[in-house]
Amino acid sequence: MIRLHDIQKSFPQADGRLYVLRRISLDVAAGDFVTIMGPSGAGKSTLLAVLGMLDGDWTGEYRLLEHAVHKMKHKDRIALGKQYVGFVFQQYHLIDDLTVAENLAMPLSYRDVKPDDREAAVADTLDRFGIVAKKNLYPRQLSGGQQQLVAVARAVIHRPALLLADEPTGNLHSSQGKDIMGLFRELNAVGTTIVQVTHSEDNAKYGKRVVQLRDGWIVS
Amino acid sequence: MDTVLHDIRYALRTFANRPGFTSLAILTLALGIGPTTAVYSVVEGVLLRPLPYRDAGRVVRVGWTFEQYYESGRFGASPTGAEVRAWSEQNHSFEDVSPYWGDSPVLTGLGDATRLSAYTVKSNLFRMLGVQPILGRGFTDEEDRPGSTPAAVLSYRFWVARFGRDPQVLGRSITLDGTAVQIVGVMPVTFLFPVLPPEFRSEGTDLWRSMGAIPAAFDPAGNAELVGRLRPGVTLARAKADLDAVERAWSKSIGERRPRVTVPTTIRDMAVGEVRRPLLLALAAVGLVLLIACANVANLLLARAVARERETAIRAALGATRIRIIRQVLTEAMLLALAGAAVGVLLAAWGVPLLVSLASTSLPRLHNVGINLQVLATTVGAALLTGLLFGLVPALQSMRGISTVALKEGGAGVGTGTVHARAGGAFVITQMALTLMLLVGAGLLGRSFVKLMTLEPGFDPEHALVAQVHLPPERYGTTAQKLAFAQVVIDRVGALPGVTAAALSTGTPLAVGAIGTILVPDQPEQSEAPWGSITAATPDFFRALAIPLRRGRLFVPGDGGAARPVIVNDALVNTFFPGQDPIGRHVAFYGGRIGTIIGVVGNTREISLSATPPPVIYEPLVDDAQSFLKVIVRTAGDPAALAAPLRASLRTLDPGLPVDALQPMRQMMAESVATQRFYATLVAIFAGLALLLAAAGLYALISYGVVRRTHELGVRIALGADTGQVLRLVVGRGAVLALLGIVLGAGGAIATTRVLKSFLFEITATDPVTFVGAALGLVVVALIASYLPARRATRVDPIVALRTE
Repeated sequence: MIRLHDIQKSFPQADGRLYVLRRISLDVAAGDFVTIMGPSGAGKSTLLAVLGMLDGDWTGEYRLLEHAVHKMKHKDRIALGKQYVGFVFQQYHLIDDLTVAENLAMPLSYRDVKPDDREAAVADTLDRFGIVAKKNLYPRQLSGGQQQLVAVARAVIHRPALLLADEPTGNLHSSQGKDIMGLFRELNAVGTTIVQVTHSEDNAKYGKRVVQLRDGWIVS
Repeated sequence: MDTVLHDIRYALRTFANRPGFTSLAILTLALGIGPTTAVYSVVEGVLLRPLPYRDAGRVVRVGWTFEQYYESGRFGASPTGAEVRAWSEQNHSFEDVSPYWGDSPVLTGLGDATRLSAYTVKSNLFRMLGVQPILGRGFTDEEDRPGSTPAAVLSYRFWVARFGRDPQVLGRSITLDGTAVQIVGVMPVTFLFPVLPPEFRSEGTDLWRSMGAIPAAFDPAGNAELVGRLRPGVTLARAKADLDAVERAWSKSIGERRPRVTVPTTIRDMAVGEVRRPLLLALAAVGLVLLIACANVANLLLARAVARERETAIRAALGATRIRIIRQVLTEAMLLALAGAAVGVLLAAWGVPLLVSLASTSLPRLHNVGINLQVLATTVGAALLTGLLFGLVPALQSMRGISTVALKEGGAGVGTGTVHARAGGAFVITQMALTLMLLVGAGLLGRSFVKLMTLEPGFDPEHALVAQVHLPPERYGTTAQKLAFAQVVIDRVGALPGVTAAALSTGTPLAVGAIGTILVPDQPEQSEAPWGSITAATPDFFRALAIPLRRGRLFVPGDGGAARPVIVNDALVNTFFPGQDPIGRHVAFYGGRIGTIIGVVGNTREISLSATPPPVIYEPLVDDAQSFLKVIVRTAGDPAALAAPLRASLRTLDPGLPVDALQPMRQMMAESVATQRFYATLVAIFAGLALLLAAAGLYALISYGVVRRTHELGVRIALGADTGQVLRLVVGRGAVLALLGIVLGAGGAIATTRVLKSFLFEITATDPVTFVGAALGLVVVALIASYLPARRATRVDPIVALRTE
């Protein structure tokens, strides 16, 4: 599903360039659940941004479902990301002024899903994630775990082939974290490819394999 | 006190640390306070400053009018000498009255012959007004008697201009209309008499003459004027009732059939009554600009208050009371207001002379206008008030920082800072609404002005030059002398290179000669006889002004005399001979003079560009040669270039002949709409300023929103929002605010533009084109103001969403 070859990302510095990703080559098969680990500053989130088309300033080759991302224009990359990728953030990043249902509907509205279909998808997702009762609440009225649950629901509502998660349980206590990771496992079981970034060994165990990054290099 | 000083010190340090914010706030306030101060200085000088008379509220001028015209009339016509005498002797309302007579004597012996603005007055006038000469004396009772030695008191302006403030001027003689007049006094610089309505565009009186030497002052049938001082406690209405009783008896005694009433008017109303409303409207308009500026600064302070919530929470945690925290914000607001006022006053100091020159032909008493202590005090007071106004909401917002909510904001969610967004949005909506009201006002006045300037005046103002000559009675006493002069002028001026036609007349369009009642002898007398303009002219008058002939013929040399041929305009035909051939019919004017119509010409704007053309009768100059004559010249090229040769030519004919009002017809037209131009320009400037401030306000709000929502925007982009969707999100908010403002503003404009009704020409106060145009203009500006920050929003890097805050 994902094929990275020689991906490099760097920033100019006074005494040369600062490399945050170095010669990254990585294959992720459809249905895989990959955990990226490494110390702070290793380049984990940057790699996730590259995978999710949020960062287009890199060199190398990147193929997603046989689309040659490295040859695409910015606009096409964005469109590709929109079609196949969903995101879960450490900070949940729900929109304060939108209700749970409206937060869920947001990615669909960005994909020009018709209002009726959007409504149906939101209802289905609320049901699937067991948060129907929360649909009219605002994020500030939810606990951290509930907020992240909504964030995961929002990430998968458009049924992305690839789910990217950046420290998805970083702000949660352990039992909430377990719930979320269990949810990831379920999503993976029904075919969603997942790439997560985490510091947690426990969370890594939910995945099928671990990629270690250090100073921008894949070390294992 | 110590804590107040501490607040001030802290505020000043805060300003110094944020020079961008501080200068933006001060500049914004200055743009509101500066124009307001400038307009207020005009209001103060023109409307509020007391007239230079003792207890001016009791000084009243009295005129008369027919009862049926009383409601629509203004100051009333001048009475006759006999009428003045009746009013003076039989009233019970005035403690003192003083008659006066206007005149335009020709001054000779001091450079070029010049026509002066002079008034013949009774000796009690200066005492009654409570003003004494600064040099010499006023008139004595002896000088009121017929045959006494002529004496003159000079105006300060005339004394300075003609005698260079020479104190030795007393006792000197000047020659007025060929008669030696002794200078006996000089009045103070502030003295002004009589006070004329602004439309007279009087530059003030040059001198006052004693009545004893002026025979006209003793002519019971001649025109006179009357000014008086009401007894203490007597109201204007009571004085009118008293004078009306006298007038009824008097008009009965002269056999007047139509009921007449008196029109007493306070001198203040004479001077500024007509300009009070438009000036106050201008002040209201600029007040709206100030409000818009206040809303901008309130928004800036609000943004700062939100940004300082954590600081405020910490202060509260350390023991600061709510009052103390609010006071700190208000102190900052007040200091900003005072700094804005200081810069605003500098702007006003620069703007007041501009305003005065713009208003030079539209407003009276402009010599009083300036930034004085009273204006400064009002500005400071208004600035403190505005400081309170724009500081209040941010101060209340700062209270929010005291609560623990502040410590929670900026948690795991991403949002727009709801409280600030709502308050800021409300400010922007208000600004948009006020701006639309100003835009609509400016649009209505502007469109009216354009309509005035582009209307067909009935004559061709291009290539036409007009001058006025006054034939002194001692040399041009007889009709034959006047006509001989007229012929020489036509011959001499007509021969000037570049002149294609030359004519003389007693009036021109926009400077009507005589107004009188017009009747048709063979038609039943109407109860309300139409009035019209009556102009005596030489044959080339119509060619010189390019007034088109509709039917019949124009005058030819030799017309006049017993046959009394007259030419009339379309308006007269439509009034008296609708659907008939008027040629050969008769019209009566000047109370019994009957003319035979030989031609019909097109209508011309006689009174002003905006007034409907009245019926006009043209008669040959030979039948009505007057002392005041207009010389009209049609030129092949630029008429202004012929002004000097024309003046020189007239001077060579008679060096003692004053030539004035020499100007191209186009300039005359421009001057006739000077007042409309003044207010249209003023409101347009304010509307432009309002638009700029409102656009800046919206831009600032949206920009600030984009900055605050950077994270949210990043998340949205990460979740799939494309450029168009982000643009729509950001611009949409600006558009919604603008539209809400437009709806509110349109309502406000509909409710308030009716006050402009009397200033509008051929346009209604709810003109849909203007409303739609103003709204569209505002939408476009709002979209641009929102688009600029929206473009920044589209460039938000979605990676920010992956980063922890």
